[in-house]
Amino acid sequence: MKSTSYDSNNIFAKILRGEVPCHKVYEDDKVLAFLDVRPRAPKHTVVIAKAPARNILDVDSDELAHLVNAVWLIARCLPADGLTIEQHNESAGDQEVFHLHFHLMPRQEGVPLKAPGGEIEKPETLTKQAEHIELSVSLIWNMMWNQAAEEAAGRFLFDADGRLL
Amino acid sequence: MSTVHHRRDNIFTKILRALRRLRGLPAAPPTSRRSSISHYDPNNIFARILRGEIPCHKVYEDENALAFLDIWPRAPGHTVVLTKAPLRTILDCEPEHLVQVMRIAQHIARAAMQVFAVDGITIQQCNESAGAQTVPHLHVHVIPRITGVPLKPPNGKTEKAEVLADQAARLAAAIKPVAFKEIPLFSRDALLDYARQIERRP
Repeated sequence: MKSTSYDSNNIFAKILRGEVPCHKVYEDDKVLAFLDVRPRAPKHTVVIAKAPARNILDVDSDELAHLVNAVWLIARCLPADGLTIEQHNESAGDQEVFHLHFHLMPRQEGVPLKAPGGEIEKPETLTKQAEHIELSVSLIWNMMWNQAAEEAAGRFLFDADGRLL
Repeated sequence: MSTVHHRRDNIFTKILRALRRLRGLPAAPPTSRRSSISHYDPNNIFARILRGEIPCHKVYEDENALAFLDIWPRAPGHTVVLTKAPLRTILDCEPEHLVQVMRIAQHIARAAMQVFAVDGITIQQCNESAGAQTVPHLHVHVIPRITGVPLKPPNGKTEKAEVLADQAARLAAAIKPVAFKEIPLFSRDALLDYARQIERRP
């Protein structure tokens, strides 16, 4: 087996530490999502865990669950004809950055994916796309928060003045 | 203790409605968080495998999911994990369906690294034909990879049944039952924290 330890100087770790900028579309306490600067399709989004994990082989199962929850959420904010999700592990599995991540690539009918490591997208295009996605994430988050609160209402007890018991 | 009520219209919903008004959103929240754009075809090949009408080289099964070897492998040991719920794509499912399938994919990936002595794993999840989905039932591909060997094209040559049976038996033996623990997007604790924060305000 080759070395599979986590290297904290990979580019995603630098993005997480704020040393390298990114076109952010979503962030919470466990997950960060941003646009790939070398998109294989328009709005190609990368979703990464904040935990220092190399890939799916070493990540804690609960950290993975948080990441997958975010993938589920962001998948709803990338309108297209289809969506291809890829997650690569080790170089043989096409992993290039050794920090656990998912690629979300919105697809149009009949348009093939570009090769990985292609041309760098214009920053103004990425900024505009990131704004759009961030807005739809916040709308969906808000809707789901609302629904979760409605569902929770049946589970929690309140006194006559509406105070939580 | 004072009288206890179960209220549908509680502080959460009041506050959230106020927030929605502030942001200029419609006051009534949608009744479902599903944004389904498609319907489910109960006669797709995975549905028939789930019903037992078509055999498969099973690798893992629990009450929520089934994993088996792809008969058109893109690399030796290519496994498909699918949810047992009748769901077409990621847009039809709840987060827990995807989490269950991905947790199992993780266990299969780890087992495949050992069993097939490969160098890496590629995981793919395709949605709609534009997204390279060939069977309209929510599933994840777990593909063992060897350095320098590219993936074969999808739907290539059918693998021999005895090869698949041997691989499935070895892989199945290396996988322990996957415990399912739901990690909700909105946990009870998060909601309670939020409610208490609001209560503390004058």
